[in-house]
Amino acid sequence: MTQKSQKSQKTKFDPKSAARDLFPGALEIMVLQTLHWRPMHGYALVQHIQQRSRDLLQVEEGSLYPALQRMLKEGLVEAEWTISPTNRRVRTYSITPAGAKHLQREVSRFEQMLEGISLVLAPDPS
Amino acid sequence: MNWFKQIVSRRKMTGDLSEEMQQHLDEKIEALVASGMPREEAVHAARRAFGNATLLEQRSREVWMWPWIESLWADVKFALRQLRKSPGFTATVILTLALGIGANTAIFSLTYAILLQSLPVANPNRLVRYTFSNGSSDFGLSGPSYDELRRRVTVANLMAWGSEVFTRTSKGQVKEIHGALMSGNGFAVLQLQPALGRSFGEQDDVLGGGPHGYQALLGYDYWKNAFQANPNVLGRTLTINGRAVTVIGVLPRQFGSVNRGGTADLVLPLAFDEVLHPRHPRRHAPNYLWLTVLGRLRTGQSLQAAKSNLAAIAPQVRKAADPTHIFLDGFFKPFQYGVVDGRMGSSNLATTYRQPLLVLELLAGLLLALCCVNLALLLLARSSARSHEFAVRSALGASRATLFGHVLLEVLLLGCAGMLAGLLLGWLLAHSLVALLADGATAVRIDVAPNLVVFGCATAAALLTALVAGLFPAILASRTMPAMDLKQAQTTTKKISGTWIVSIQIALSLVLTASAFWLGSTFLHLFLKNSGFQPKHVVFAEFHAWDTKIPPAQVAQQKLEILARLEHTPGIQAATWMTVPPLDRWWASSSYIARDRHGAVHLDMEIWPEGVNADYFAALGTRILEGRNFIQQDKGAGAACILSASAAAKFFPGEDALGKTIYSASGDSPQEMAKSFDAKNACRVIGVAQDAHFSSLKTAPQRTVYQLARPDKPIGFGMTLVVRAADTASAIREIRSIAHNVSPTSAAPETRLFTEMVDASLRQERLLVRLSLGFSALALLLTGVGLFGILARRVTERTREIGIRMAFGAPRSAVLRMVLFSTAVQVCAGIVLGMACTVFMGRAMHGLLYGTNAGSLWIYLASVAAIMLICMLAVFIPARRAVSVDPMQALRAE
Repeated sequence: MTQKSQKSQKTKFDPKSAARDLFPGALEIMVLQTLHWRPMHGYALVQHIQQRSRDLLQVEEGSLYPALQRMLKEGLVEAEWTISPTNRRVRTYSITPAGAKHLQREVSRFEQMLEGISLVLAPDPS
Repeated sequence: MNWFKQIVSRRKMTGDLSEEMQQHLDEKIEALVASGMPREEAVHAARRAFGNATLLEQRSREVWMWPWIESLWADVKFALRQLRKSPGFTATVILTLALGIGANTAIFSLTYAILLQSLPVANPNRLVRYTFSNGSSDFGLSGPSYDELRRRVTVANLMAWGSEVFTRTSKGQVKEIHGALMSGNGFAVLQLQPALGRSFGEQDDVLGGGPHGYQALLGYDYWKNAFQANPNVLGRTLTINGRAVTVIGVLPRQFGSVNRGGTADLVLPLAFDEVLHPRHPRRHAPNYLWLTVLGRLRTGQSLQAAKSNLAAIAPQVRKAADPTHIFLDGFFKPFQYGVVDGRMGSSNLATTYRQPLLVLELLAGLLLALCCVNLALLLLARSSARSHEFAVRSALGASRATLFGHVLLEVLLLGCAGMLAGLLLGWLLAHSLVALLADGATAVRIDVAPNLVVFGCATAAALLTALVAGLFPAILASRTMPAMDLKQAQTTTKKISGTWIVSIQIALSLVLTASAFWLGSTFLHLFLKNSGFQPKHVVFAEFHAWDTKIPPAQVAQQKLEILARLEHTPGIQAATWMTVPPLDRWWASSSYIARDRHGAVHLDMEIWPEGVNADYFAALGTRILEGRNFIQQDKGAGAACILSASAAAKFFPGEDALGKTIYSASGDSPQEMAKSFDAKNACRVIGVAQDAHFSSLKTAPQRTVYQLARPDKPIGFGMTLVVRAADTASAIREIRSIAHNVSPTSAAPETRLFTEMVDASLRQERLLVRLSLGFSALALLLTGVGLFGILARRVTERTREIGIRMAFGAPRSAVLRMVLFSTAVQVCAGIVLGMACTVFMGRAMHGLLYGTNAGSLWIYLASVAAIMLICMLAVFIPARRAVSVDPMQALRAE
């Protein structure tokens, strides 16, 4: 492959990559919300998010891990090694009380933002 | 203690992370395989979906680190490991940087110490200096000028400082001490605190020195050397010029003098002048310009205010400081009072060395630029040699920023090492430079100890150089294209980046070489010049401190006695006294008048007067061209004189001066001087001598009138004894012992060889020549090495191509041509660029050149020839390697 064709591919509009571009913090809310429902390991988390979003949100799977480490450090989630139903040694994450509180705050902020955006996007009443 | 727990458990966590991510991938692959995808495809699909695993893992780890310090530390360790793997490269880079930084540090240390450093007193920026000057002639102020200024200046408090040579008698031995007289308020105005004891004040600066006699402070170094830093020195009595003075304190260590480069071993109040010069006190002489006058601005005042204040009072000061109007309104009429920034005190060194230092800064800067270019070349070569490595690392998931950062970090580490080596080198070099400055008669005290400013500048220069040199290679490294670079491997020919750098190198070294040639030719011109003397085998003995209690008539008698004894000493060929020694920063002038055969009057107010003995011409080696030398009979009868050739031509143009008469002229104006044709001023010309350079080899020879020295005549005995002897060492011993026998209470003379004095007068040129030659040699070496490096790489990389060409029948000469001319364009471009820069350099150095000029063609030709020679040498080895390529071998190696 030559240099030129590589470049042109990069600049081409790619709907998939656009779908991946989430706003900062979005992945965290989704992870926390998922964990709030029940503890899960990384792979299951990704699967869950993609299924729930009906594949509209294609998260780059690996990018989950830096986010998980950040939340671990901030004490929003906890992790322990368990054996999965498919008989694998997996690291299962669960939400902490601090994480639950954080989630609540972030969700209400998100809803406010969403409301604001939809008001702006709404057709002009006049 | 949360962070502590984090550190302890971190290793485990990062270990967990790798395992966890691996599990994730495995699970995904299993899921894909279960959905019917072939395993191999599933592996790729899983990886694609996951993203750049290495990078993501790294980001996850960074969450746990103190963000950048730790990753930087890891990078530093990595970079050090990389550098250790190529010690040759590392050493070359450090050495190149060290040379560039070292040269700059040394020159800057000197520039800082001479041109920029403030006096070591409190708030030096509030000091102003009062001057009495005419262009670059700035000798100082007279005592009365200081008194009048001090009385009238309203914006500042003034103090005065005058350098002096004292004698100290201790255990029967008389020794010279270089020191100074300072006004009583000096310590208060300078805000100078003694290191030990107390200072003297206004009340101590009176005739007799107050109720306890004169009180003195010792210089710190003198206290350390002569008194072993004994604190009990306070209260001790010293015999200075026959007078008992009490030591009351020691000056601070950093403080040498208010005159840059000077040292005061002893400081006494101004009033002590009555002891030093009992018959002709300088303190109140209107015509003796000797004081450095500094003022401290009062609160709220500025230099501008001081200037306008001075402008208002200057006429009154001039009148009051010389009621006779003979000197300040007559001889010193072109001199003007002025006030300047005084934070650096006064400095002859600054005046003398300003331009040389600025030129040296320029040359050193060019050298650093050249080092930077060479460094860039080295780094580029390394970058391109490592392109495979970068490609692999990039393929393994290193981000572009990481690669960029790693290369830059390596460069910065090299920069730091180079800076440290350069600082050390610069410090050593600066010390030897100070020694070069100080090889004259007077000690030069310049503090080049490393300080924060010099250190800061060196650091900035080193890091900037490294950054500039490393930026392009770092960008190159970050632009790696794994797919391309890995496929190409290392076999195919790549375009070598950086050949254009050769042009810059050549241009820079051309400028440096031409500068060195200019300065060298100036030096040679001065060195080989006929000075009008024959300096070999000549000793000068300066009697700075004749016992002041001996009356003048007896001093003259003693001097004649010394001469008479020397004449009877075996081995001494000639001996004479002279008034003003040559080539030693002295200036003398007096006025003579004469009438030529057409009756035209010629007045010359710039005659160099020399009072000599009959043996003068034999001793100094000045030839008498016409007429005769002085003989015994000339001593009694009327005045006889010998003119220098240029003086004879001035007074008696186009005629024979022998037997004519000249008159010593006096008066306030040329009109008055023209009336000096009087028998008592008359002087008969008995000979004409060759011209001699008394003041400097760089200026025209002085028009000189030689007369026999007589105690009762205006031109009396000088303080300088000149002796010609085959064995100068034993002559010096003889002079000392005879002088001690004749006048035991006077200090021993300071002896110097005439050849040393000639050398010392060319100190500035010598310094410039040595440094510029060194810089230029270094520049040529760096250029040669750079060119060699590029060509050697090119030949290596084109070995296969050369092999094929030869296999197809290309003659060796064609291959040779190919190598030789591969950089011809760059070399030519460099020479053209260098020529243009050299023209500018020539203008910058204009004032330092003598006997050559910025336009002289041969300098350009010689510089270009030197560059070409270096290029040839650099090209020779790679070219030979290219023609000796064996086609069979080259092709088989593929």
